[in-house]
Amino acid sequence: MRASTIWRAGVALLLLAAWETVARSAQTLLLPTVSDTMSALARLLMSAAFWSALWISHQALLLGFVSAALIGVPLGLAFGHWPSLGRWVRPHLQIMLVVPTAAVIPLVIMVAGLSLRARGLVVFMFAFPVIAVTAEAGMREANARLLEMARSFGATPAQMMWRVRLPAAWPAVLAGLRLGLARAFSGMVVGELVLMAAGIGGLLMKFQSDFDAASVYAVVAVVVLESVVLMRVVAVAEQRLLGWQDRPAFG
Amino acid sequence: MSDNGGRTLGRAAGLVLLVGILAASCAQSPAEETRPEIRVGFGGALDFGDLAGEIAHQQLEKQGYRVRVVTFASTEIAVDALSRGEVDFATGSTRSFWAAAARGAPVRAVVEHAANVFRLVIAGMRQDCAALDGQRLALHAEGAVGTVLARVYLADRCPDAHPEVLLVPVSANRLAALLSGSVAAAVLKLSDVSQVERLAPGRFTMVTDFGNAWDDLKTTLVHTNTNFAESHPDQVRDYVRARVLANRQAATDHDEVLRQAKRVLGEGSDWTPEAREYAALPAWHPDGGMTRAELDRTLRFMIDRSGIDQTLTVDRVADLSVLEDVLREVRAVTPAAAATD
Repeated sequence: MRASTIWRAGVALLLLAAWETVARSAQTLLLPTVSDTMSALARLLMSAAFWSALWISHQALLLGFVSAALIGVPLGLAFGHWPSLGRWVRPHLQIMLVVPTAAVIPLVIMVAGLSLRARGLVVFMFAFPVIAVTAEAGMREANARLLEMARSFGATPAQMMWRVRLPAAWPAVLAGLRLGLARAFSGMVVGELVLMAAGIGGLLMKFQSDFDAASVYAVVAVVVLESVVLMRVVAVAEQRLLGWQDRPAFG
Repeated sequence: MSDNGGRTLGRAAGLVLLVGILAASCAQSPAEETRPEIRVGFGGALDFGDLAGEIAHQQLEKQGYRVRVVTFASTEIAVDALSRGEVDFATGSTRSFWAAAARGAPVRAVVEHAANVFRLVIAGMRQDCAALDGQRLALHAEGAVGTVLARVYLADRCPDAHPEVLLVPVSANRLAALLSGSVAAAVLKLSDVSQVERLAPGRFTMVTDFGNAWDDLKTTLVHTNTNFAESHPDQVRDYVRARVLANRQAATDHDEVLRQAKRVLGEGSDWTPEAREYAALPAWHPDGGMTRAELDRTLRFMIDRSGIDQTLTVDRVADLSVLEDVLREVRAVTPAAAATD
């Protein structure tokens, strides 16, 4: 076994031991022990209600994230390619990144009602700005020497775009998708906690109202684990697709 | 002076200023330090139902207490803060406090906060519950009192109506959904009903008043931490007395309620309709609104209809002795409370 693996396992065990100690001494209704959380996790994974809730949540995740990727990547690339357009749009994207979600929920209701569309819109609002901003940065910061070289070899604008600019922006696009996915998971849960209690958010609220903190943490653990696994999948895809590049991955 | 010297001097001045600001913000006058403090937690933003409590807090300030009101994001967080002793009193959904008591939290109800002010409203003019059939109905989160009441109402008194229930946790979002037509009906607090009427006059009709349907159900109580109550019995007594006297004042002194509404909820609205409606109910009971019989009925209801622990008893969720002492002192004005006196 590699030393780094042993270190990681050791740190994880230490953190779990610290969690157990704090939970036993904290005397709070909202922090369960590790052991209680594990039991709740086992119960949760056996429950049909949990899988149904997970599916309901993932419909919004899929809708919002795929829309954010399909719209965010081309728009981000376009903003990067035409800097004057980017300068005009960038402040708006930055506002989207920092605006408190709770404040815009009534607006979401006015626009999309209380539906899957509305939950998808919340996910979109979380993921889209990150994806677009990162793609824009990747396009804008294409290696100037490469561009110059392509130009001196007489590359046409289309060749410059397809052979130089887009491949150069590709790492940023993938990093943006990875970060956007993480934000999409947050958006999925936030939307269901603030907009309407459905899916995982509904389940969390139900457990919270019964002070069943172990089940709350078990649900959170599943969501975190799933997002970590999916982000790892994107990172591996990133490595495979960008293996030809010797530069470090963006983000 | 060299650039470096000037920069160093500037940094030192900035540091002194920062320390000064921190010290000033942390410092308390000697008089502030000696006044006993009462910390009160609310399980959400303050609304009209909280105003009698605010009157009581001002009275306690006049008596020499320092009252610190803490608004938590949800009742669950307020309950946890109370059970850990971070606040001395807390208000919010009764069910939440009792669900925590069932898990061993040291919390007991000492006086009612506000009466049952939940209403079921629907778009259009039909007042019968059959109008709900097939419509989208917005409720609070699962486990909240308003949601429990709505589900019981639909099951017992309107079994043929099958609305599509949507859980919308934030009150402002339920209002937005109702006003935008995203839902046709919603369970709202009386103050929200008044707001809807102000924003969209004549568009909505009340299907039922849960306060009338379950007039003895205690939906919002003031709870204290039992450890605090044991170590500070006088403060608990002073607090409950102030609440009872404030309830009596709020029932008759509309000007004071309106003054509090403007101070706490904002100057922007005319709060006269709310003041009239809350006083007419009355939302704030002149004798503290908590008898053993009422608590027993509320507990049975919560156990049977909202799935909280069956082994709970009135003595595990409430301490009536303080209110009874206070009523002996200030004399009960209603027959029910006088009977327990």
